[in-house]
Amino acid sequence: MKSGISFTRRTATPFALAAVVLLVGNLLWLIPVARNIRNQVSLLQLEIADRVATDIRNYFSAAVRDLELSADGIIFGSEKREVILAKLLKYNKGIDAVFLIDGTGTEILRQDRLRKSRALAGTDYAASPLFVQTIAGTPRFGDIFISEQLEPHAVLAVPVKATDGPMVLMAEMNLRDLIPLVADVSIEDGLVYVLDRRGVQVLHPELSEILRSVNYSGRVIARRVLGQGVIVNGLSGDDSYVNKDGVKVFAVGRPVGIGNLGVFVEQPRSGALGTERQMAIVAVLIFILGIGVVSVILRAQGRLRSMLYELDEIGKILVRRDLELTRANTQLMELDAVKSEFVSIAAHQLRTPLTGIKWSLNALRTNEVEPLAPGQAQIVEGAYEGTNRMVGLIGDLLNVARMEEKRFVFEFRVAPLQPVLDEAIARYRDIGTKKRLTVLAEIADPLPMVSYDSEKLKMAIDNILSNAVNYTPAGGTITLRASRDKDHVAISVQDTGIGIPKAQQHRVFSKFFRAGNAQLRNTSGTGLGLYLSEQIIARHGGAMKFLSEEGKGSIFTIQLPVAGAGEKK
Amino acid sequence: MLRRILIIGAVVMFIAAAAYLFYGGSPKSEKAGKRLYNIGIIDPDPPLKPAADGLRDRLKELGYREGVDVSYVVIPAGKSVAETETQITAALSSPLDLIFSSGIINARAAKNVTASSAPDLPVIFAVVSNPVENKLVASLASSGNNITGVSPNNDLIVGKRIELFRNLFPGLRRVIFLWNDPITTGVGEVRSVASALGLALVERRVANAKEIDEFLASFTPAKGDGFVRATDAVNAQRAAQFLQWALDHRVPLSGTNVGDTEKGAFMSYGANYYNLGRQAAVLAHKILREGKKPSDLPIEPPAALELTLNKKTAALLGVDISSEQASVVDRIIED
Repeated sequence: MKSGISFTRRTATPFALAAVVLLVGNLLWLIPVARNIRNQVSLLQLEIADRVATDIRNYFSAAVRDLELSADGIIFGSEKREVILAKLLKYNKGIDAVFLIDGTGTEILRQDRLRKSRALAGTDYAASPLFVQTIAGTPRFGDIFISEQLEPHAVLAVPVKATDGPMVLMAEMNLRDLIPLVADVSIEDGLVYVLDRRGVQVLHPELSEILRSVNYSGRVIARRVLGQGVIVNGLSGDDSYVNKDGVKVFAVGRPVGIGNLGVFVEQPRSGALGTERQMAIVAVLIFILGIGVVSVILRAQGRLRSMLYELDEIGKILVRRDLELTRANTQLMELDAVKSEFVSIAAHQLRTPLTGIKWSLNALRTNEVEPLAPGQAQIVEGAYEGTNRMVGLIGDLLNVARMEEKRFVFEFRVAPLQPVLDEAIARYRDIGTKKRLTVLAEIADPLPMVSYDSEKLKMAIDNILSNAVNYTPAGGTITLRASRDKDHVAISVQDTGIGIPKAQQHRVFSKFFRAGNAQLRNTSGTGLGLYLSEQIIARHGGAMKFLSEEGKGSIFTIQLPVAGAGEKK
Repeated sequence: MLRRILIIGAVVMFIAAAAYLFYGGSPKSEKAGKRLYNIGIIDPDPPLKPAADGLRDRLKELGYREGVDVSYVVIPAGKSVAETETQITAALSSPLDLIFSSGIINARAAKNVTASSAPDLPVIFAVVSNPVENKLVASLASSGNNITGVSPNNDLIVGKRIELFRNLFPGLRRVIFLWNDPITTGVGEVRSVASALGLALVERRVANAKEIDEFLASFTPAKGDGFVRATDAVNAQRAAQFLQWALDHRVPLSGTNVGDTEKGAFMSYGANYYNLGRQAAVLAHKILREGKKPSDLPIEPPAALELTLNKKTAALLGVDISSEQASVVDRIIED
């Protein structure tokens, strides 16, 4: 027999197959999910970049609008120009200073939030590209620089078509208010920053970082956004870079749309693509779980196969045993039949000579031949009684043998029970008197008709009364009762005899059973009487029961069906 | 045996991976975490008190509940740097996470004490002009020590203040300017601007408050005089007396911030000290909750400068304010 499960070729093949299926299955969902996650991260970051770019554009657009409104207000004469520019500072807190420059490039008016002394210098802007381009008629955006107060500043310029000649209105914008736009962005461990056209970092959540003016033009993503003016979604391999903290980041970038600025959003890849990693872990878990399940199934399958094999083996053994038992049973039945036949033949062969001997002895004891001397009579009497007992034993053995060989012929007749019971009472009343026993009869009148074999029923009742007489000490009472009990007639024999020990009562109707206390009292019993009686009553469709208490007596009851009772039902 | 080890290993791996999956990706908490912070506030002169109020209010907005997240320890200010240093030294006997100071005297005292006994204890100042030349910090970009803060830039804007004073009071012919600290007050700028605007200048260096009292008692103003209050510690001690003197002598006075205007100054131009305190609170937040060092945080200029005018004082002084003049004023105090 095989035991345990080993990783054999039989289990290895499905195992490998399951592993491949799991692997392929995982890849089938993992690849599109990972692609989708990257797209989602890219979209989210681009959305942030777009929002920041829009805010920056709006900030500068508002400033340009304010400048143009002021420019419109100062085209006529110079009287109100100082007040108009002062109001511009009042209402646009992002402007730190504003200068009016005439067509020759000379600063003719200035309003600022700090010093007056410097403003009267009359700076020459004639060579400034910003001035030259703006005087031509288009608002311009200058480079971002760090002010003396260490804040990011930028210069905006708008043309002024004044009645006293073309001019340029320039404003120095303090970009401090733009820092919250990049600082307050909610992106886990992420960063939003702005580079100018040169790749210099001009906006960052931390002022100290802005002051460093680091140039990131070496980054591919910066060159593409600032140089080519394209939106970079971060999905290309070279869009990623290692940031100043040495962390590889997932980044996107887009042009702001004003001043050649570019806004960038970066996030450590471990954080940005954390979901992707989690999905990969899920895939690994599914793989491990799948392998585990397959392993368990294969293991269970192996065990089941082993159990089935063992069951098959046990089945074969049981079949063999069954055959052996059947064979043995047949042999036993044959032996039993031989035994019964032997007993029957032996008993039959013994009965004839024993009967002859019995008659001869009877003739001697009754002095039919000649009178015997007193000593001889005693011997003959003893021989006669012994022979008589042997004839009884032989008779019982023959009856048992006939019963088992189904040769016990019953002739049922529907008749009243009274004659059978009266005969039994009469016979045992005489015997009881000899043994100084009181034999009583309580027979109900009338008793219903019963279908019975007269000889066999007499035999059964005789056996019970005989036991009662034999095992009831002198002075005792034996009562025969008969009455109707619903569909049965109950015939009971009650004695005040030695009773049957409780421990042996279960064997009362067995062949050759004799209770221990009975053997001590009378050694002439064969132990076949009650067996034969029960068999006879059973053939009548009835039953035998008894109640007994050692030392107090017994009641044996025969129940016979009333004739025609079953048919009525 | 080998099979059992493999199974146990797989189960451990499974559990570890699942745990990482569910807990490993959780957002990181702020670096420094949350706990009760003890902030020592050096009790400032009355004109500077709004800065401390601004600090408390902004920190509250940032989620610092008093008694739960933050506890304020008021450190009494002495009459001199030495006395204040003694008070700060005493305060350091209990654990402090940060010191907030207003004005140059208190800031200098905080620097001196922490430099010797608690060099890692952050100090945030407000209302200290020109902290570099005042030798509080190495540069505006990085203090190079345990100090950072917000400057009102009074030394830089004093010229603009005089210009605006002249715009609102066109009859201004002479500027009266008492000063003690040339760095904080920007007296050089005062001279340049007065000269550029064609204004006479009466300037006097005062060593202490007593000399101010003596000047005010002896000086007789003339028509066209205007008083510009200087922004140093000595002059701050007599802020109320200056106002009273100016009203008594019908001399327009330019203060440094809206607090002066509210108390009766003709006008003021400068940073709002309450707002400077709010700016300082953000710096404190970066240090306490984000783990930044003071030297990482550049000294900040004021987020805004405001021109204020007291119309009642103007009327009392007989100064007419045209609508054009009023149009450039950020805040007009009506009473």
